Amino acid sequence: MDLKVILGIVLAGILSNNYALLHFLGTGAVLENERSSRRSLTLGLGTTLVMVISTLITWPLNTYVLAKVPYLQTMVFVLVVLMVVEIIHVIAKNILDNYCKSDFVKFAINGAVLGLCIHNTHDEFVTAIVTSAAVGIGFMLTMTVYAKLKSTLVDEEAVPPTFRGLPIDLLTAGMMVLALLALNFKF
Amino acid sequence: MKKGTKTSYLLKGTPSILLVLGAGFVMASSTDIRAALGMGAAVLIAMLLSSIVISALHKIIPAYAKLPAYLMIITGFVSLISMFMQAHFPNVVEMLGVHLATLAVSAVVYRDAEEVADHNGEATSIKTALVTGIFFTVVMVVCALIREFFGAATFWGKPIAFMQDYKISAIAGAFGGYLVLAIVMAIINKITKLHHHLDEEEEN
Repeated sequence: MDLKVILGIVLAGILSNNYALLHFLGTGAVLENERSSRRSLTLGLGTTLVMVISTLITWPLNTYVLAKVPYLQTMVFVLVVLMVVEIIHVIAKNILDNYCKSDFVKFAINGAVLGLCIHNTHDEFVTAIVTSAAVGIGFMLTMTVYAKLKSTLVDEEAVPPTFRGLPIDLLTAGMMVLALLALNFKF
Repeated sequence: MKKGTKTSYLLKGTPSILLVLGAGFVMASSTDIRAALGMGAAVLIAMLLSSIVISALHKIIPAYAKLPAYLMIITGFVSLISMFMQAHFPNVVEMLGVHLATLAVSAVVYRDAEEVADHNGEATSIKTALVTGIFFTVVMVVCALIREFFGAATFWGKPIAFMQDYKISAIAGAFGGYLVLAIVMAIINKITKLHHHLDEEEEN
């Protein structure tokens, strides 16, 4: 796999293949996020790590074991994700607890991680790993930018009362989607 | 029973928190009414069955094993629902794609299990699961109606002749998902506030 392809996958992970904004996977985790940019970045990095390690385990499992029992795919994948999240949490407990107030475990088990593991089963192994890292970076950037946008740009007082809360959050995310779609046309 | 209790229970306090957590699958499955109904039924049944089992078992599951145990119970039911739908409604499963499987790790179902089923008996858990499930189904179907009619100019997958020249394809896309859900949520906010206002007036 040459550098051009890797760069293409990374760009796609951030733009056209953005899980949280365009595929609606892990959107709840992003919309719910009210942490500072630094905390969001730490959580995003942790989630990226979970995505890559989970793919490293689920891809061979799916190819060599689950091919004969496909109905167990979701259960096995959830178990693997859960295990990976717990192991990362145990290893990096101090860092994660300082930055994420110990909510890493519940945060990292989200639709984006499981959806990515399932999507990756259709790709080659190396492509799947690069895609996981790219999607993770896209997820991390989305979360950080959205947290920053929400805390600095949205003035709740200026918003009509009925649009305060979730509606204005959704419209903010919608504007990010429009920006991503515009960038997709550009590239 | 106080007049309007049912509506108030449905609309007071919980909708925005619930919709934030379930925003992903609401927007993903609201491109088509059939998908919205399928996802609504899946959410309702998954919540209902997992709530019953968790509320029955929560006393014997140790605190440190609650997260994996609850997730496995929910995943088991989601897998069963997925297999059932695959056998009887393959088109709907195709429309929902990976979102049906990701229901297993959905914060809506898990939080319902953790906050309601873990602290209450079967009756309360069933009631909450039913109300939340129906609420999600209604929101998804309303969003799907708007997105299908204005975005794809179709209803139940069938083209609407007079709308063909006026459809706005952006509404059927990702941006439309955010826009339509924001508008629907704003309407729910308005109704909720109206109810709060009426309740306060009634109390006074």
